[in-house]
Amino acid sequence: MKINERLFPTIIIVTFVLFLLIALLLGFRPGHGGGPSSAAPAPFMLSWLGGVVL
Amino acid sequence: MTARTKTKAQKKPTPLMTIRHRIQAFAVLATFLLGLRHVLPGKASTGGSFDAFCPFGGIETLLPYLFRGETLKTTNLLNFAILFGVLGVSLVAGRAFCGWLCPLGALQEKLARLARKLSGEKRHIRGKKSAARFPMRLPKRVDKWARYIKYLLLGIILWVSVTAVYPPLHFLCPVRAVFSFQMTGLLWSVLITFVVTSLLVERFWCKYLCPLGAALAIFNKIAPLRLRVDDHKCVDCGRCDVECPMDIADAHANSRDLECIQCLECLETCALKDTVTLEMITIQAPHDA
Repeated sequence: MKINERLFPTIIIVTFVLFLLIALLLGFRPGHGGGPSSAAPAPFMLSWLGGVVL
Repeated sequence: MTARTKTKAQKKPTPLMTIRHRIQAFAVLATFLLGLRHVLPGKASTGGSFDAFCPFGGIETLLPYLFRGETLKTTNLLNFAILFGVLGVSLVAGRAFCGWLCPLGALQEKLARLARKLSGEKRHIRGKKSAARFPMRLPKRVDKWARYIKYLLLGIILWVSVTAVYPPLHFLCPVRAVFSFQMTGLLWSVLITFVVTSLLVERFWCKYLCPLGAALAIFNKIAPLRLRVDDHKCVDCGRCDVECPMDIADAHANSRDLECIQCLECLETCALKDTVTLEMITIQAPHDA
């Protein structure tokens, strides 16, 4: 299916923002530096991937 | 239209590339402000360190996060969110992030343009080989093998990251060297190397060293939004080869090349109507894949 090339910038920017928002909504939010305290979504990720609730 | 107004019209950058350059300028400005924000006094650490906004930081800290349950120092979960955004773009349009949104790629293109001006190009004519000496192309054989360095670097960084405390690229990152304003001796040498190599070879970092580009390259093979060249219409004039910032040999025949950054320069340069087009591969048309 042919796409108008003028739409390309809009497509990539909208996709970037959309995926960024999804990630933020999933809990990948800014913290302060590294360390174990920033590992909050790990159990969610693992349970989502393996069906195991940690 | 008089000859004079026609010349003026030809001088104007084509609309799509103007949009691309504006988006790139915005990406550079945003990264510059982000770097500035982290050296200004006050609550500068909201959102984490400068590294926390880097999509490649998400790759660097992925294995430590999965194996040890913690992110590397100077990175945090925001890295994953930004990486997720970049992966989203790559899933749809291959390495379009490199061609449209990467601030480092944008700077390299600006530096290449500066090099062309400094080395004798008076006026750039789209599709015509420049008389300027720089930026030059490395010999084909060297170029071919040097492009594998970035994949090797990506492998080493992933390997080292498992036991690392800081992101492996933290002390050598060119984005930090250009934008972070927190310079060390090592970062100064990275900055000088970055500027000099970008003046000598267009998108030197992207072609040979960028590990993020290496990680995104595979998406060029699976992304549904891609360039398509009509072989029946293409006359093999080589205009697209001249404009390709990644110096892909026979760009018209290699629109799915791992090196392609989907900048659409070839599409804009092609003088034959509907020869290079943008297409979305659909399930209904598997023969297009």
